[in-house]
Amino acid sequence: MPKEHAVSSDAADESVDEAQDRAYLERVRHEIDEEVRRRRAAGDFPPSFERKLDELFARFTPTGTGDDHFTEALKLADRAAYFDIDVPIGSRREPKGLVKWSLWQAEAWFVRYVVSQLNHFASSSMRVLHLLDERLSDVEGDVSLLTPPALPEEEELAPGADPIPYAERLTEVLGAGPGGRVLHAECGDGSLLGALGQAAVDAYGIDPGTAAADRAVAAGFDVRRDEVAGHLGALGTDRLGGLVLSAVVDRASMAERRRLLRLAELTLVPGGLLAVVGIEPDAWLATVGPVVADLAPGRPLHAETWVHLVGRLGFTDVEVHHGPGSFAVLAVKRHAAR
Amino acid sequence: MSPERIDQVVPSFGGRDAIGVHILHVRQLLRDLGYRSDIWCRGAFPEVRSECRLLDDLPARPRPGTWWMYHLSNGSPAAELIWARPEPVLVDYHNITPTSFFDPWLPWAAESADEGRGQMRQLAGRCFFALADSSYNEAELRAEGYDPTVVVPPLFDLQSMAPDRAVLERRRAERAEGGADWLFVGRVSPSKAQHDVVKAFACYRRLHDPKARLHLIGTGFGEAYPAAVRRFAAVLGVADAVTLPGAVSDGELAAYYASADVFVCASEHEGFCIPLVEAMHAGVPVVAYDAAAVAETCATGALVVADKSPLALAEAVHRVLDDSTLQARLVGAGRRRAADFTLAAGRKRWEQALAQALEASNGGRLSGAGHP
Repeated sequence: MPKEHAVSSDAADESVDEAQDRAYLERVRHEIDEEVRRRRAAGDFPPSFERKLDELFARFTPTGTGDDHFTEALKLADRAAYFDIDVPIGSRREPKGLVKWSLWQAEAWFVRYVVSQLNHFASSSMRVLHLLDERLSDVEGDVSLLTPPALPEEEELAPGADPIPYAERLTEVLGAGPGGRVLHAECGDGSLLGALGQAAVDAYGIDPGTAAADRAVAAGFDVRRDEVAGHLGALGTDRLGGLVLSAVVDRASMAERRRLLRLAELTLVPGGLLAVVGIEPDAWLATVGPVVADLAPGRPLHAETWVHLVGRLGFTDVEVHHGPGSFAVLAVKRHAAR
Repeated sequence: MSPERIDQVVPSFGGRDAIGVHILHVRQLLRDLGYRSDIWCRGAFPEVRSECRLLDDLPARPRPGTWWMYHLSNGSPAAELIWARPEPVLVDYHNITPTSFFDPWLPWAAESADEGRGQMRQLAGRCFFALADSSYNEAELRAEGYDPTVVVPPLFDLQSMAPDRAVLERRRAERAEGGADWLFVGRVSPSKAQHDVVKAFACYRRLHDPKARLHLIGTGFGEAYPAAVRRFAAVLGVADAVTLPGAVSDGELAAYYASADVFVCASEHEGFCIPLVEAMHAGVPVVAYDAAAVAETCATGALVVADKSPLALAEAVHRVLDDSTLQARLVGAGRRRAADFTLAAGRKRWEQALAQALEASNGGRLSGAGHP
């Protein structure tokens, strides 16, 4: 049964004028917006999930991609690639029908000449598309062979590096930064968020939904269940004062790591800090089993490699800090050239 | 000088669609006002063929004392035929859907819409008075140089809908199993964005009501988009709860309205949107995305939202269904708003608009051969 909400209790009279109606509806809209924000923060529907719905529907558009949709599009094009030379000559009135028939007879040779060329062109074009389809299928087959085999379910990836050994330096640099919210992805139990909060750094975290993240939420940290690339992609440009990447950087593939760095550059304000907290490759090898070591989609990179990668993107003031079995690379997004 | 005859021209006459119904009511009004009036078109659906005349049969010679009322909603050779004639032309603008909505789905419809925009510009120079379904439509007319213009909503009869008993019984049986009924009525077309309703519906089922049902009533515009909506519902796991019955009779439509808990509109483009008014008239609370003329049509009779992301729309619907006071206020305000669009009220507005057109014609806007 519908229940009454607080906002409605003081305004139940149906005879209120339009201005009151508008004000009432505005309050309702505001409350709905708040509820949506609360649910997103609680992870009921992360923004990345809503984007996935968009991508899913896009697969069904005539120009969509994936699965067998290219084949379907080709079938549609095949059907459209034939031009009918039989023009309609029917008419409600007999004399008009005769006139149309005569015209059709007189012009039939020209129509046939033009249409046969169009059909030839269309069938040639379709042949090219079918050849492209065959080649594309071959390429897709080759690409699928390059995809690493899935890990056995019982094998677990190593947890991310603990960022706490670097909290003091991070707090120091972020506190002196250009301002703006700081994001820790993936934040696990929120320990770094706690340290940043104590230093009055406005920070929030995202995590794909680990048990540690549940503890962070229970502890009252601003933590959202979301995956990193999707979240950063939804933020837009120049939105973050700082970004700390951990855990995901150790297991992501090389392509995913490059995407994360590009998104970091996009979302940070000029002068914003990027920190990569990673596991030392040797320490990682010592903690994971041989199957994970061989089949993991990505292996941890050395700190020097991260320095190289952030340098290529134009980050400056690069610092490297080493801790027990881990490291932190700190770099600043350069200011735009004047 | 008053014309003896005001004939309406429409590219294609469907009779039962919004423009077709409007045209029939306008003809009746014109005849009641003492004008002779016919409907001309390039083609008509068989069931309404006897109501109209084909432009193929239109004599080439000028027809003194005649005004043409051209119904503009897409491109057609009928527009060229009318502006080439000497008689005065009125334009009744129902809006042309932007081509971007059709491009990947219906290339021919995109071309037709493009052609319509071009003809809209050209007709501006031939039209002495233009009518628009909404202020939104009027702004588009003004931007193309139409002057004078007047806003006058389309004519339709809300009282003519009596629920079909068989459908009503079937719907009651479904509702006895619990779950809310979402409804949207409109051509199944990319611009109406039924896929966005399906997204929100899937969210709503997951968060609030796993027994909810969604009814998307309307003729499919082409085959690809309705098929895509069905497949999308299937991959989201809600295919069993989503029905797309296609076109339904007036009685069946009334039964759907009578058995709906909420009307949800995610449409991206509406020049007026009669189903919003029908829903408000039927006492169904309306949640609608704020696009084009939607907010203008609903006024305060609906919960109009600026965000139609799946979660936001689902939460808005949940709020309406969960809050009895909000529901009551929306139903009350909706009924009051729908009362603005009764056939009697609409006919009065149209009489006033025609008087303004006469004034414009007498004010020197019309001159030259064949003008009254």
